[in-house]
Amino acid sequence: MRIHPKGRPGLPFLRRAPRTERFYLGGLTEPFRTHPPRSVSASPPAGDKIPTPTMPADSHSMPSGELAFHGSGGSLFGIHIVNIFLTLLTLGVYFFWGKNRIRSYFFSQTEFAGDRFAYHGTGRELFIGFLKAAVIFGAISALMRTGPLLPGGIFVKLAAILTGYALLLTFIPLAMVGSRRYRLSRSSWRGIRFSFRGKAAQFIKLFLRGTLLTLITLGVHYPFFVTRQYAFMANDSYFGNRKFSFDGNGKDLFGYYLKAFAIWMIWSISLGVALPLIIASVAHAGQPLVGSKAAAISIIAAIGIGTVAILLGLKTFLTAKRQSYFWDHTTIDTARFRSSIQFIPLLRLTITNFFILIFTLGFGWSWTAARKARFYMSNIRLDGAIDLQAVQQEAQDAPATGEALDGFLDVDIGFGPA
Amino acid sequence: MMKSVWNGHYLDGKTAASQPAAIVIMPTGLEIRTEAGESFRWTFREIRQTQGSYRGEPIRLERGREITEAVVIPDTEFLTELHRRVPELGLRYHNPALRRTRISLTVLAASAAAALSAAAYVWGIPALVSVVTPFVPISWEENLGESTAGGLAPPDQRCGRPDQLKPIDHIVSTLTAPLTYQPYRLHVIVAKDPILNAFALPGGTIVVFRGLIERTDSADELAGVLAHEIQHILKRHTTRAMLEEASTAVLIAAVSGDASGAITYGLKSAQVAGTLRYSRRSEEEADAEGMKMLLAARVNPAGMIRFFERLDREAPELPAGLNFLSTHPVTKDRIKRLREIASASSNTKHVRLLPQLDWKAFRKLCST
Repeated sequence: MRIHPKGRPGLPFLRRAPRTERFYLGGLTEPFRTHPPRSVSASPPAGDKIPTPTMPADSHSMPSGELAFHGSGGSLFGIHIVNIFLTLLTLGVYFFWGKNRIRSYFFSQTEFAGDRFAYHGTGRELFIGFLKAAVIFGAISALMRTGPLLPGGIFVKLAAILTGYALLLTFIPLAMVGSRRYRLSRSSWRGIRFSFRGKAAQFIKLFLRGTLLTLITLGVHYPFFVTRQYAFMANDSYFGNRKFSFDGNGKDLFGYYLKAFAIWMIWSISLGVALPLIIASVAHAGQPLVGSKAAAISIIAAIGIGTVAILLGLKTFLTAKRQSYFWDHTTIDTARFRSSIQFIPLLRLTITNFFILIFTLGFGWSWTAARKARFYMSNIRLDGAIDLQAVQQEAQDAPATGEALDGFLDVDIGFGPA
Repeated sequence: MMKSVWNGHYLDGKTAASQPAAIVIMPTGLEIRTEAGESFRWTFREIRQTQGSYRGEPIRLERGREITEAVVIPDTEFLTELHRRVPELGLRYHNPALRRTRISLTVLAASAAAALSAAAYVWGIPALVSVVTPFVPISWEENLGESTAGGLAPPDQRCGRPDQLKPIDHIVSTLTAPLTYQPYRLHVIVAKDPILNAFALPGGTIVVFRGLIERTDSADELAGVLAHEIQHILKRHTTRAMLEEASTAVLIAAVSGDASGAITYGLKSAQVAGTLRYSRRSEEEADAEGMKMLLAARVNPAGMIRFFERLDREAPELPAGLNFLSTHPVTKDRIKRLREIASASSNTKHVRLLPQLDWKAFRKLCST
């Protein structure tokens, strides 16, 4: 379920429009120019000697409807380092403020149609949410631990432990909804807050049912399950009073999953045939087939690396197809998102990021996160017109507890399509 | 003449429409005039700067909580001019002139973070663990030890009837006799596995494997091994190890911060490497205290030394340079330290352990 690394708030629903499209600035009769107007042409009110401002040279060449990430790995690294220092100094308490700063940086550095997003969450909220979630988790883990010590028969013990597991399983969807509700409620564009208004109970039902069906059908149901999850998340998301909608169906993704599964089966079956032969040759070192023990071992190593590479490739392939599909079927008002996320560029990004992390012992995280954000933002845009004057503020409150539960369970779904 | 009117956009917090606006710096606040002819005065006290601290990021100024109005000014020169005109604003608004200072402070924070984590690792965690360990109830250790013993050496994998194990119990009671008080019920299990090993479980259980017993030549040698293991129990090394591991995990989480998701796997190995150092420290302590225990019980220390030397001959060490990967200190160093402690002792009159016992016959207790 983890799609975005923590801290990369996949900015929701925001992408660029093709240059030919017009993105109307609400209220004004002329189309939004390639650059939003940056100067004031209003005549100064009487009585004030304010010189008419000059038109600034507009450095923006952003076409309307486009998304862009302007952040740099270097700035992010600076924030990260200061966070580490303060977290150590405060024995961990600053962690939540640090997390909030990173998130705020990502939002502030992301631009849609010439305007930056803003993030309004606070470290204090995250900290309080964490304390609440810790109490809830403490209670559940206490239930599961003390279950075997409870007086009474095996049924009492079993019931206590199963209740613990059931609660934990319920918490995963609860955390996903809570996290989305919190993060959307704390983000805005042009001063208008996003919000998520889905009912947690419905999502829990959807999630438990989907998990069960996926298990029963040995995974065949999975593409439908992920699509339903995304549909739920998208359909109840709002920008001000404007609703997002999703018009996709899991059956469109089924072919990709089938293809990935087929490739995996071909690989596994060929290994199933080849491996016994190789193992046999290792057992009789120096015997024919591969020549020497060393050669056999290097063949096995190559198979291991090959397997990892194939798994990574298939996972990236599915991610690219799924994300593209989800974005392409997401709309707001009369505007539709368009994705140009493709498998090969995403694979290139994934592999290079992997090596950056390895060679910097993880300290290159800031750069990989910035690269990832840049990639996604430059591959998503919004086509069509929205009457911005008609978008009314409808901010919704949301506690940070769900967000913190999410942190505990590590089921970060980010904002983008799952 | 510096610029006094700045171009920007006004967001009213009610609709998504962005209105072009002129922003004027006044002595006590800003004046905002929209294209539509509206005009607002915001005092500096009520304005929050939420964006514009990074190069290229437009300046965003907000006002109000319920309905947040905002002004966005793309030209970052605005901040420089704001500070020039209203110097008393101080740090409430980002000052581009202080960017260099900010970078130096970041570098300083990085070095301080490195120093802090090193200090926490070398001193902080061991000190913290020493403070916390005495508060861990011994009954917890006993529960843990019992369940581990059940898994590692199940009853059908043990050898020796209780009467056959009496000599071992005698060695244990000889070793613990000089102690005025110790809260553990020490109990030795002999496991059938032919490996050359022994370990102490928290709470008082010691598991000695058949391979080790069969390679001892005298009761003194086994006493050396048992003294080492008893010290692991008395010094509560397992409890310490668990606390140290948990604290190291917390430290690593603090250092990796938000990146934890991405680099978890690399950090896991860092954590293992980190706790190995603590583990070697525990082994050294068990060696030294074990030797002192032998001396206090007037057991001949030569047995322990002889047994370690045999280990050294039989089990080759890791290649030089890989010592940091080892949970145990290098045997040659251990022997040297044991000799030093033994020779520092003035006590040269030793008791003979189990004089009536035929050790060569006893050590085969698993074969009968």
